[in-house]
Amino acid sequence: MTNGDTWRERATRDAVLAGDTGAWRLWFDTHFERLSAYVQWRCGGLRDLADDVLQETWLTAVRRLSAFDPAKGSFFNWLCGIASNTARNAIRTRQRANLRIRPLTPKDDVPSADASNATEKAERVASALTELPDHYEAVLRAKYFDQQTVEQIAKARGESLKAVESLLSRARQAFRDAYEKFNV
Amino acid sequence: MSDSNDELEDLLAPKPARDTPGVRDEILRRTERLLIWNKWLQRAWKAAAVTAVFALGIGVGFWRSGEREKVVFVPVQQTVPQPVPQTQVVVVPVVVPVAIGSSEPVLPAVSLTAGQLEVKAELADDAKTAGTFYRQAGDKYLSEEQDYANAARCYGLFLARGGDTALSLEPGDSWLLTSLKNAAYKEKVNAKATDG
Repeated sequence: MTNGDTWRERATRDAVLAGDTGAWRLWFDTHFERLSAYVQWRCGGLRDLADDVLQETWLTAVRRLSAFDPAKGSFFNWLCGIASNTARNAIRTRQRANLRIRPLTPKDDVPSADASNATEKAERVASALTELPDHYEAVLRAKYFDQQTVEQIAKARGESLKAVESLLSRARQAFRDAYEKFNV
Repeated sequence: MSDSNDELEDLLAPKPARDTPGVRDEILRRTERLLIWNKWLQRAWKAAAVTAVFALGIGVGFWRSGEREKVVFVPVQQTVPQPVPQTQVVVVPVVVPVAIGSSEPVLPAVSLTAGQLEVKAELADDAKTAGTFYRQAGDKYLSEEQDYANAARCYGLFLARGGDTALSLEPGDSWLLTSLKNAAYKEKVNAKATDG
């Protein structure tokens, strides 16, 4: 992020804090689509969960806007941080709720082949991402969601290719372990 | 490993965008409403803070001013009103001894003007009485009219009629008379020295 971006985001933040809804709408329009895509990826494609997380993320952003410091990172990255935490809380709540549901008969315990399999897979992906440390989640996001190459990730993070490949390898393994853990 | 990575690619690939209709507008509406609410809340906080500071100032001022009025209960004794004593003035004649045959001239008790005293001095039979009147006229000129020329003239006539005894200084002499006496004395001494 350049200095110009930092100053622009700082000016927008101050305008929004002063109650300028026009500035807020501009910010919202700029980042909504990308954040929506990230939240869907983060929630494993679960649409209802993604909608809840997305709404809660924007509301939290408005409430805590005074804490946003453009010098520490871009507004989108800040939103992603909020979305990540919100998704983590929402998925854990969803897991607890799933555990409380007990099928009435053994026959009901068998999910239907088509929809429930995809949903279960999405829930496992979302839960596995929740279990990952932040730096693992960040490198997986850069690789699979942003579709960046290893070179681009290394440049963005200021690390060597070897270090990023190693980090990516460990992140993948951690994800696989977590994904298998939720294969109940 | 390759299959595993392919599976991972599949699991972590970006999901196709499927926006729920109305979600975007609903979120925008709710965030804008929250933003406006926050703005008014901030204003309310500021107004409340100003009001609190104002009230605190008034409270401190009232507290620091102390008691302005205090009700004190004083036991009142019921007394019977006493008649006020009336003062009566009684004229009592008093016999005052009067010196007869005194050598000092009896001066009139009433206050005369300097001019009247001067006339009395002119009309006086002997030099001593005339000198006394001149001196009183001089005093009057000096103290009441601040007429220094006439005062000096009257004092001069007093000294001319009083002789050597008039040159002696007395406690009741005015500053002008004292000065004239000193001058007359020096003149007299000086004249004697020149003659001798």
